[in-house]
Parts: sequence; C-alpha cells; structure tokens
Amino acid sequence: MAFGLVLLIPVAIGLQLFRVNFVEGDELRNLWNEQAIDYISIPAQRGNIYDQDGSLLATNSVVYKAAIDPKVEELTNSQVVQICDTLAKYTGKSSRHYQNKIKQAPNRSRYVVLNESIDTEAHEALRQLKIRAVILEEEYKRNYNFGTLAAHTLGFVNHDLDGMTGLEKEYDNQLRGEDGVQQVRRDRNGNIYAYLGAPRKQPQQGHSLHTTIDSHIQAILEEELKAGIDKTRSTSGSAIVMDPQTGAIKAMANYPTFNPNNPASLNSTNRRNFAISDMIEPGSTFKLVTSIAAVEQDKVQFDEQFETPEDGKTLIHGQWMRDHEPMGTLSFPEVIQKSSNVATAQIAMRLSKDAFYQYARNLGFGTPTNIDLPNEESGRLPKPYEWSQVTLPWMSIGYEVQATPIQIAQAYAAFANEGTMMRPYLVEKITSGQGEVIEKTNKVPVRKIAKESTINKLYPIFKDVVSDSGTAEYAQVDGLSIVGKTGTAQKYIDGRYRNEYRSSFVGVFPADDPKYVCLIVLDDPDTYPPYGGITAGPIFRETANRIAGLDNEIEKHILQQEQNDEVWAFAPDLKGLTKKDAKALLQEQQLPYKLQGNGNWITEQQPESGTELTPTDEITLSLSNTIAEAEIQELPDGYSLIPDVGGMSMRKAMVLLNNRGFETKIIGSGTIYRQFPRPGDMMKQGRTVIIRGKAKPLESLTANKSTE
Amino acid sequence: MLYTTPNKNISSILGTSTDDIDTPKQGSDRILLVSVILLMIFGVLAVYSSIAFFAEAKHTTAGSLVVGHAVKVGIAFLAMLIVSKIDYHLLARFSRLGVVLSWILLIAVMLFGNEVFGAKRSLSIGGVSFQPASFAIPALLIHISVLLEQKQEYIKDFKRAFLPIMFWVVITCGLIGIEDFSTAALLFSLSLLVMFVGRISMMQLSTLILIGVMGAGVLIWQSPERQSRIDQYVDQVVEINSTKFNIEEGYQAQQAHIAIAQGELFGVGMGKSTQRNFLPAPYNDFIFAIIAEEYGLFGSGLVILIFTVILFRGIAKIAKNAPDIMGMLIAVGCTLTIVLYGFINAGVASGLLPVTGLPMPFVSYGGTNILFAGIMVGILMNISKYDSSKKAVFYA
Repeated sequence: MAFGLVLLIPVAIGLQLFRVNFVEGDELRNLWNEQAIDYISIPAQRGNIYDQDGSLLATNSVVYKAAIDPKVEELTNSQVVQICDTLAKYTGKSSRHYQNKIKQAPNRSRYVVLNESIDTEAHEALRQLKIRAVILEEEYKRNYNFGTLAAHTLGFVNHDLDGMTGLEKEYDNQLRGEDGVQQVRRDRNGNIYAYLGAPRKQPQQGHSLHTTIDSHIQAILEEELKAGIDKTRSTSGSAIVMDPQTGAIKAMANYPTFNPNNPASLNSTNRRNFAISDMIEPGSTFKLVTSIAAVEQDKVQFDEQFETPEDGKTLIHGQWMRDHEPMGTLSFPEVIQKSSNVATAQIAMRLSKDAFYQYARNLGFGTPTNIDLPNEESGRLPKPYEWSQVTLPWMSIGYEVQATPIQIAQAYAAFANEGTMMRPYLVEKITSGQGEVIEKTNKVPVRKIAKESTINKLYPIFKDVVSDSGTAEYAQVDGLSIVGKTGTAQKYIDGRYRNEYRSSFVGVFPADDPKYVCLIVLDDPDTYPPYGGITAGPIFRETANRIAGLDNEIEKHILQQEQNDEVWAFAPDLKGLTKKDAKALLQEQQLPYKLQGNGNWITEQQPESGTELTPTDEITLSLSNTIAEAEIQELPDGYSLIPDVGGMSMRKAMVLLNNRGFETKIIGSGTIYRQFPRPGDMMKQGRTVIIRGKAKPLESLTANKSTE
Repeated sequence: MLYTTPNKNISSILGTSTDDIDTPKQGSDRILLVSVILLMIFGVLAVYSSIAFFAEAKHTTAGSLVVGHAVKVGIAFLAMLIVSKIDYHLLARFSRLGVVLSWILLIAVMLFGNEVFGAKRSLSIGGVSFQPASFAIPALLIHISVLLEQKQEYIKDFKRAFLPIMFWVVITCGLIGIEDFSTAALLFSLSLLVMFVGRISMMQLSTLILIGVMGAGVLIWQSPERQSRIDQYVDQVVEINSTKFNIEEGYQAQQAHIAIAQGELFGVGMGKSTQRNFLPAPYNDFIFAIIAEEYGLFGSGLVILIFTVILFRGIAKIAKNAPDIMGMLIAVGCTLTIVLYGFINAGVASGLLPVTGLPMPFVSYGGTNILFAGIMVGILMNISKYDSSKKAVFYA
C-alpha cells in the first residue's frame, strides 16, 4: 500500500537521529563545549584590617555599577528619562547629567557607564524598572572606615583591588585571597547563566590583618601633629609612636595626608609615608650615638668639664661649628642636656672613626628597619673610608648622615629598652576568614646596641633633657617622667645648607617603665627659633599627655605624683602664738607639725608663713619661753606692734591681737582682707584693731599649679 | 473498504434513538487516547524546560506560561472528549459553512492579525489569540471528504469531481499561503492525499503535481534567496558539522544537531537542556530537539514511535474500519495531518528537512493548534466508535 511509503518517514528520522548521535556526535559535542561552556571568576573578598582592639580599619562593601545599552531596540525615550530620573533621585546628580552621558557616548557604544558606584537602594530601584537596557554589575569596593586615619600605614587599593601602598601592598598576597571559578552556560547572545550543579570552585576569602595600631593613639597623634604643623607653619611632618619593648608600632602619622577611600584626589606627595621613606639629617637626636660610643669606650667622664668658646662657635678643620647659644663651661651631662654641638664634637673626636661607625651601625643607622611596610628607605651612613676630615665631628651632631624617622624612633626605642633593639612591626597576627590564626608575628630582637651599664649611666642624662634647664623644656608633662632629645638640623639642598630646618623631638615615657617612644619630625617650621624643643616639643607634650590619659597605669602614676605635688595649704603664721593656740590652729587645719625645744611661745617656724604646703610637709615649730624678744625690746612699755593679720582667719587674728594686748573689732567673717590701723605701726595696748573679713575662695585653698 | 451508510438521524448522536441497537455504542480507540496523553505529557515537560527565555522576553515567568500551556492542553483534551461524542456526520453537514468561516477568518487575519516574527498568523478574539489556519485545516479536509463521497459515482470526471474539489482546496491553501507558506503547502499535499484515497483520477493528480513541481522549480530558480536556502539545506543534510552558514537556517539546523548529539542515548535529564539557549523558539519549532537533548535517543525515538502508532491506528484501524467512505476519508485526513505535522517537525529538528515553522501536535507550545489537533483526534475517536469490523463481531 501507499501508506507503506509514509512509514519511511519515521524510519528516516530514526536513522538521522542515530547518525547525529553516533556518527557525528563527538564533533557536535565539541562544538557545544565551545559555545555553551564558559567560566567566570567569583571574586574573593579581600581580608579586613583591624586595629589592636579589633576595630575595623579597612573592609569591603558591595557597590553596584549602573550602565545602559542605548542600542536595545525596545528602549524608548521615556524609558531613558525614567532611568536617569531614578539615578538622579538616589545619587544627587541631575537627571540631565546622566542623559548627557548617554548622548555624548560614542555612536555605536552598547555600554555606557552611568554611575560607577550606586548603593543598594538605587540598585533595587533600577532593577524594579525592569528595563532590559539597564546593565547592573556588582563589585566589591574597599572601605576605609575611618577615612584618613592611618592612611599611610594602611595604604590603598586600585580599581582592581590590588594593594598599591602600605599594608595593602605589603600583605597583598595574604589579603587578596583566591578567586573562585564557576562554570556557566552561555546562550547565543553571549549572556551567561549560572545553573544548578555547575562545577564551582569556591573563592578563598582573603586573610585579615590584626595590626598593632591603636586607633585612639593614632587619632591623637594625627590630630596633634596637624595642630602642631599648623601652629608652627611647617610644610609637613611625620610622627611615630612605638612600643620600645616589643617594637610594635602604635601609631604612625604623616601630614599632609590623604583619604585612602579616594586616593587619587590628591597628589602623590600626600600619599608618601615620610615616616619610613624620608631620608633626613637627624641633627642632635643623633648625639645618642656619640654619647653611647663615648661612654662605652670610656672616652668621657661624667664630671669632666668642657670649655666652650665664648662666642659659641669653633673652627674645626676649617669649618665653623656653632652652638645655638654660648654656653660657657659644661659638664658632660650638661653637654647633652643643653645640646652643645661644640662639646659633642670635641668628645666625638676622641673616638676612632671605625668605633663611631660601628656604634651608629649598631643603633640601626644605614640599614632598613625591615618594618612590614613597602618602600622603606635604608637611610645613608657613609663608610669610614668615605669620610672626610670633618665627617666625624659633623656626624657626631647628626649631619652628613641620613636617617629615616623610623630609624631614629627605633634607636631611641632600643635605648629605652635597656639596649635591646626590636624590629618595628605593624601586623600582630594574620587570621583566615574563619578567624583561624594563620601567622603570628614573632617579636624580633635585632641586636644589643650597647652594654646595659652604658645605657643605665646615660639614661638619667637624657631624662634631664626634658626639664626646665634642658632643651626640651616645653616637652614636659606634669607627673610624667620623660627621656628624650631634641633635634634641629639645617636642610641640605642642592649641595648647600639652607636657612630651612628640620626640627624633631623624640621622647620616651614613662621614663622608669618605658611604654611609648614618640618621635615628632617637622619639616621647615616657620618659627624663630626653629629648634626642635620649641616646635616639636609641644606637639610631643600634647600627644604624650593625651596618650598618658588613655593608659590606665600611667594615668594612675601621674595622679599619684600630682597628689604629692599638690598644694595642700599655705603655712599659717604661727610666730608669736602660744603653744596651745598654735596646736589648736594646726589641728583645726589638719596640718602635721613637729615641736622643737621647750617653752610656751613659738619663736620660729619652718617653713615660713605663706609657703605652699604639700600633704607630706611638716611644720616645724621652735618653742621658747619668751616671745620675740627683739621686737618687744624696742617698743616702749604699754605699746605693741600691730601685726599683719591679712589673709589670716578671724580666730587666729584675734588670738594674735589679744596676745599683743589689743582689742579687736570684727566686721564680716572669713579671711581678713583689710585691717585698721595698718600693720607695722606701734599702738598702745588696749586700743582696738578693726579687721574686716570675707569668705576665702576655694581655689586659693587648694591652688592649682599653673600650666605653661 | 466498506461503503455502508449508517443512519444519519441526528437523534442517534444523542444516543436516544432506537437505532442504537443497530449501531451499538463502542468504546473509542484507547491506544489513540493513550498516545495523545503521552504526547501531551512530553509536551508540557519540554515546554516548561524551554520556555524560560521566551518568558523573560515577555516579562513573565516560565511557571506561569507553562501553567497557561497546561490549561490549553487540558482544554484541548476536553474538546477531544466532547468531539468524540459528536457524530462526525453532524460535523459533515456543516463542513461547507466551516470552510467559508475559515476563509472569513483568514481574510480577517490578513487585515487585523497580530504580527509575530514578520507574519500575520493569529487573531485576537476577546483577548484570546486564535490562528485561523489551524481551524481551516480540519474544515477543508472534512469538506473535501464530504464532497468526495458525494461525487463517488462520477469521481473520475475532471469537471464534475476534480475541479469543484480543487476550488475549495486552492482558495483555502491560497489564503493560508499568503502568510504561511509551509502550512499551505502541507495542507495542499494533505488534500491531494485525501483526494487520492478518495479515488480522484491519478492522471489528474499527477499532472497537478508535475505542474506544482515545475512551478516550484521556477520559483526557486528565480530567487537567489530561495536558491541559497536549498543550497544550505543540501549542505546541512550532507555534512552535519558544516559551519558554512550563509543563512540563519543553517545555524539553527546545526544547533538542533548539537542538541540531539548532547542527548546521546538517555539524555541530559529533565529540564537540563542547554541548547534551549541557542535554538530559536525551542518551545515550538525545535521542541523535538529539546526532547532529544533531555531524554536522549530513547525519548525522541519514543515520540516518533507514538506518532507512528497514531499513524497505524488512524489508517490501518480507524480508516480501514470506518463505516462509510466519508468517515474513512476524514480519518485519513485527520491522521495524516497530525502525523505529518509531527514527522515534519521532527524531520526539521533532526536536519532531514529544511527549516519550517511547523509545530509538533500536542507537544509544541501553542493554543489553537493543540485545540484543533485535539478536535481531529476527537473526530478520529468518534469514527472509531463505528468500527464496522467490531460491529460484525457484535453481530456474530
């Protein structure tokens, strides 16, 4: 039958299916692999950076990129306006701004970026529009939660989230993590689709850094550095706070600074971490090397006297070296305390070049500190054979040598740490995304810089620098003992020393139990004089004061100290009183006292009346059986000298006046501020002295010590 | 073949006539029913898998579209059951009206139709999309069956038999062909087949076919576009992996091949097709490729087998045992329509035939075509009830 022919059709189809599957199948399946399979990377989240308390300094957030394909066929003008309006609503830019972007795009462009980063709300709003031309892409963005805080230390990342500077660069490999891969399917338009059960390699989240940075100290340091730079009109400045016992960097600041959230907005100078990459001539802070070398080599005695020239300058191998002022004759401790260049150079010249070089080397100059930050400079310490005749004396006061701020801080940290130099470091530990500790930083003692005995001998001398008679008078903090050194160096530009200065101060506190080394370096302060003690010193003072306020132990210590120093009361005038009256008076005021000699009358008192008393002070009273014989002898009978009762209490004045035989008339109460007749005159006994009193203000009782 | 005339009393349709005793009620064809149900299940699953892309373009979900599809399938199934209860002789009475109505609708489509992919094929009637071509096919086939029966006595006569029938065929196919050439060509072929079975002169038919082939040759020769399509077709049949696509159809054919090759023996699994992202209208023209990919050679072979079973039941059982010549012809027409649609769709997807846009009955996504496929099977089932061989058994 004819229908047999129709049966040929299914048979043919069956054969064709067989042919496609088994004869040509492999090649077709290869074709499928080519066109339908693709791999996309799943970006790994970059690790976080924490401060020492676990506050997030750097983390990631998701942002969305909004773009448009203006060539989508069904896209109408009103839809474009709708898209732009929606964007305008959430981004604060005008709708016209976005419309212009689309208009100005190249004619055939099918991908016009409208906004690089919109937030989740705007993203959702655009998605709700359901316009096919809108392209929304999700990306990670690096967020520095505290903006400029520790900007130079943290560094920043580029658009691809590669670390460019700072910790972001140094630890890029750990922070980066490993991108995952996902197999996806493609369609004919190149759109990709994830599908269930697709082979997938999960992204490995980046490790997190737990740094030694103390955000509070960092904030204080930055604030004070900025304030100090503004005040001294310096061009720039760097500061470091470091723990001398471990080498942990607590804070590191540079000014001017930048915001790592938007690193490109300022020029590259702002982004440079001068604290580790600026090579400066240290100036007098380098005298630490000279003094350690001289003391350890036994080239100087503490009681040795050094004559300095009257005009304050001396000629060394044809070059004038000056002190900032003529100083006369100085002992060795005074040389350091007053920072005499001439005397330091004298001492240095007793040392051999090699010995001096070795000590400079021991203190870490000329080699990088190997802090875990990129772009650290090693400074420059010329080798002895490179030296000229004048290099030794000049180097001894910190010229002809270049050091980075971190090197200076490290040297003083070693000095404070009984001679053990620690490697400065920023990252305490590295943890995985799940919080497992991957790596813990070992505290690395680099070397012993000198004998402990040498350090112990010198330490008190440097403590004296921060005193009323030292160069760092303005770096003093009440109740806080500080070891430190000022430094002022003329800047060497284009082969000549200019009238521009680098002023610095490095301090260690508390001196007895060193916890912080703080270095302040100012570039070209516009003050006269530009000395480090005057420019950098106060910055240190404010910083140290506030850091001490954060540190419970130091705070407690200071409070105790202050209590001891506090003026408890003023010594009353007790001369001429009877023993009984004096006792009553002192007991009333709760002042401790001591009696000397026998007798009923008080003839002497120690301390004198009106002196400030601290709680520990005792008043020593000398007794005798006669009252102020000298005074009485000169007076005629029946007459007495009118005493000065100003400032006394009524009760005491009455006792005093009655003793002299006067009557008293009291007007008002409290402390006496006026009396009549005037004191010093003679008056017949039995007459009346009028005393006026008023309440004593409280402050004058427990007077504050004035601040500078 | 039997040329008996069963009673044409309308009351018999309602089953109230005493004539029921003469033509006892028989069960309709179970195998046919099961085949259709199987195809529908395949269809719903494959549509669900492949419609996601289309859903996205229409701003809706694959789920809602496939539920809509399932509802249409359900309606078609219901229509099939209802039609199977209606005596086909009743339908035959309105056949002329049906064809005329289809003409009106076809003209309406040309005037008011919705344009889809550059062709006007559907009409919105009260929010429901309707394709008149799907309706025109059974209407025409039933009508020529009626005419053929009427003209049996002078069936070889050119003027009295051939021409009057060709009048209906040419106008209907012409109206369809303006918008949808492949459907028109298929309907024309089906009509000729039915006419052949209805004993129209072989000479007349052969001449017509000869003229048609020559005409087609001229058309192809005239148009470089058509030539390139032929070239592409030959290319794709000879060398499956050819990457020389000078036209879109070559790309489509290759993607369909890849889909089939991906499926291998047992397929990649339900709903896991990837080629749906590369094939145009995977839920319709290339649904067979999707089935081949997801269910493998077994699944696609089963679908071909089901259509072959329908072919056997329809021709060798229902048409052969039809009570009258008209029933036989209608059975032949309906069976061939469904089966050829299925085979052509499969042939296109497997690269045997040039790319056309014909759906696979009961399987492809769509409304009108499933509905009328269901109605055609309903007619078939109704004819199967009057199985003359079974009646004989009954009497025995």
